[in-house]
Amino acid sequence: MTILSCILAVILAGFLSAFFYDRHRNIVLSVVSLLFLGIIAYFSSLAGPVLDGATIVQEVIWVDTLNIQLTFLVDGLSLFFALLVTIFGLLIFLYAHRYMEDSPQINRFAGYLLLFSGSMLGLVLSANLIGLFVFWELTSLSSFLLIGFKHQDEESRRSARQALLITAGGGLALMAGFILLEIATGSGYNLTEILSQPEVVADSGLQSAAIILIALGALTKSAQFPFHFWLPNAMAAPTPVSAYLHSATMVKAGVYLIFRLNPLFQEAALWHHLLGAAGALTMTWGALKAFQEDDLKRILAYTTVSALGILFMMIGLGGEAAVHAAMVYVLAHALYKCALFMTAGNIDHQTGTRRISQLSDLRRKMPVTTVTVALALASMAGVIPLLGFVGKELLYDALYHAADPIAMVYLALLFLAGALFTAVSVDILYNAFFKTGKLQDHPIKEGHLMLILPPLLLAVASLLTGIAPGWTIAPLLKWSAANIHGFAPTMKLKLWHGFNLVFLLSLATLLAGVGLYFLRNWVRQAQKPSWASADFLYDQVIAGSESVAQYTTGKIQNGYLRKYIATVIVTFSLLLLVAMVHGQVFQSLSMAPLLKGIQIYELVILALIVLATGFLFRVRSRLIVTATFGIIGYSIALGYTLFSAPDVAITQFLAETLTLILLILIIHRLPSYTLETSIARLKYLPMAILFGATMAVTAYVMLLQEKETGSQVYFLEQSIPKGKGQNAVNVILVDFRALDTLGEITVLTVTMIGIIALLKFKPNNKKA
Amino acid sequence: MKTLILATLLRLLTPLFISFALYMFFRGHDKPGGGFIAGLIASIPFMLHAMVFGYERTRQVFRIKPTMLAALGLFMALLSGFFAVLKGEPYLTSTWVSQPLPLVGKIGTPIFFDFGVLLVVFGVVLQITFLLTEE
Repeated sequence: MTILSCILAVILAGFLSAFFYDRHRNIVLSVVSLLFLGIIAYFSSLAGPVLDGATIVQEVIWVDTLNIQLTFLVDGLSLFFALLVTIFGLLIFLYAHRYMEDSPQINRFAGYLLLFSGSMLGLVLSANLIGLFVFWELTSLSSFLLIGFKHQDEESRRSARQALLITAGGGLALMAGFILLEIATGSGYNLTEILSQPEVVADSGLQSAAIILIALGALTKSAQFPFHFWLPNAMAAPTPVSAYLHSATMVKAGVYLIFRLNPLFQEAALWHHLLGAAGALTMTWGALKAFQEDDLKRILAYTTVSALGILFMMIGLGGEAAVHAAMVYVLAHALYKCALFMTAGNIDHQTGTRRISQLSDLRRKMPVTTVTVALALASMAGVIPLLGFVGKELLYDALYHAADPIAMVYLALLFLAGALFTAVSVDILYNAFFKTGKLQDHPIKEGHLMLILPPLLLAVASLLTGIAPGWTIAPLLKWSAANIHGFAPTMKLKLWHGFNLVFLLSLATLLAGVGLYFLRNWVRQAQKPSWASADFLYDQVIAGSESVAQYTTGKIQNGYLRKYIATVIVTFSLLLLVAMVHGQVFQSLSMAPLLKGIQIYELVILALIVLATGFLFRVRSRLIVTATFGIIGYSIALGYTLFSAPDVAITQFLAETLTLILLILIIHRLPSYTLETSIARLKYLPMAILFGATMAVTAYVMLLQEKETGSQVYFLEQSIPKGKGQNAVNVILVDFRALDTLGEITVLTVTMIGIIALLKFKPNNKKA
Repeated sequence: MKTLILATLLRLLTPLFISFALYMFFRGHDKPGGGFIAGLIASIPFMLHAMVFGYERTRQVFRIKPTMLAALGLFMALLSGFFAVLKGEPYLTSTWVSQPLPLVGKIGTPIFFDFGVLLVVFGVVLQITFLLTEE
């Protein structure tokens, strides 16, 4: 219950901020900060038992009839991510408070941001797949709102749409994968139970499909190839969003998911090949693209894509060492990347540009930022003694000692990506901070304390955890990693592993990176043709689906009412006939009861109906058509009275009268008949006969069947004792089948709203 | 379509139609009738009114918006089902006063439900008529 309250409190705080943040900024800020501090304190208090190996489970009854409960689970892995989300969330909120100071609609911004925090917290804590999916899609939705925050900007809107289409689309695949897991295990979407039976999933025959679908969800969310292009475009969002969602947390949701499900699939080859290949490709490609960019935020976005690729690749490799390395690298990346994004925002805020080619001299103008950036970039490049170095050593170590031959390919690619990271770091640090250039005489100074403190804190954390990883982060990461590979915690972290081959490799990466930096003009020339860019292909797919939609809409929505009705009734009749043939209704159909005891007055009514219908084909005037319809309707009502159904007969009489009146009211507004000749009308005759015949047969079949099911008898017998009414029809309507009636009157009301919309809408009047 | 006969008759007919509608409504549980039929009958005098005097006039006389009536009816029908929920039974289970009351007779949630149906039918039919007579 407590965890659910935490999540709901954050989302509620989001709603409060959306209403009050613009007017009472400081009050809301302190409330939100206190809330975050409280949640951090709560999760820290859970750290004690979790570090002793306990797993805390909290369950709230949710959809009990489907055996789906809102379950939350705190173990090493979810505790790590929960702390990541809340601590970074607090820092980002403080940072955004100052950074977004002057932007309009800041209340909405704060609301979206907190909605995201709450959803992300729910995502990493959920122990029920349905709950996890709901939170997963909520993060996609809040990400969409945040990317499109500058909604006046066409580019923002496009990026937001793109991110939503891809991540929410992947979410649907994920849902399908979850359903397959549920089919295989039948555990009520309970994550813990599913994770405990990998053999059942493997034997069910659904494993491969589930892996592909779930991997699709993870790959889209974490911007892995071939879905990587939405993340750089998502940089249209304000910088705090990029720092929080698109580097530290949301894009890690895919990573969290594959971490979480790794125990389930780690025996499957497909899981490793799929994630490994996608990860390795994304890692290399992202690093290469990062080196070609000029905009600070886009550089950081591509390095994020690349770093996420490293994580996917490590899970693809599998094994204890790889999981340890991935876990350390998640933290290392979150720390340095979030700091870098925030400083990129600071630079943008203070100088007005984020392009490296426009920047210079920031070392003298913004000394604190320089320290922050230098530390964070050093961590990214993997310079001793920062956490990035520890992470990179572990990555190299895991790949070097892996038995799988593909690990050597991964190692070579990682070396290349690492060198490119270094080159990017050198590029940023030298050209923006140390080079003397255009900005030399500009009066640029350091931003507000709230802008420079959060990134500095993160950068210093990178340094401290790098110097002493063993007693700062190892206790928690040990248990997180244990949850990923499903064994006892064995991780031991230290900064210095001795002067060995891995260290040499690390050193060589740095040197190669510096070397690559000097080759930058040559590397940057390499451009692929525009038709091969994923972004371009995305546009083609969207444009293609739009034109297909336009074509089909043009075909289906042809504007002729009679064609609509023809389509509806033909489809309906055919479906009904197919269903009846399939149900073998016609085999036992006897015509005998139909002709038994037929009366002369019944024949008269029948003749009236048939004559009137035939007459309809000859008439040109709508008024006469309407009147003829009246004859048919009243004849049918007469039929009802003959078969002792007074209620239905009264209703039919009244409805018929009202229809007549309504038709007469609008008859003068209708255009003249477009089908002038009788021949043209005759082409609808087969459809009319088909529909009429189908309905007649259906009614007849139902009449025969009803006697067998006994529902007739039941309703008649129970009407007085249970429904307290002698009129069984009315009792059925308002009591036994009241839900049906409720549905019908709802439809009636909706129809009325539709008619209002149709009649009030004047196409020529643009204001209407 | 201004006819003197109909205009004069309407004064007499309107209360008659409404009483008849109510009569049909209340007998509905035991004899032919019910909310749907009553709703249709109740709407007839107002339809005639709109045809005779025109939409503007009817709207002035008839102060309540038909859409509001329909919404009210739907709400009432929805709400009537919650009595059962309060008692811990499935939604829309009927609940009756145990002893028939003097004069009023037996009272139970289906009456409110049926009255909701009446209001919805009444409101929808009137709204459509008003829209169609509106020039």
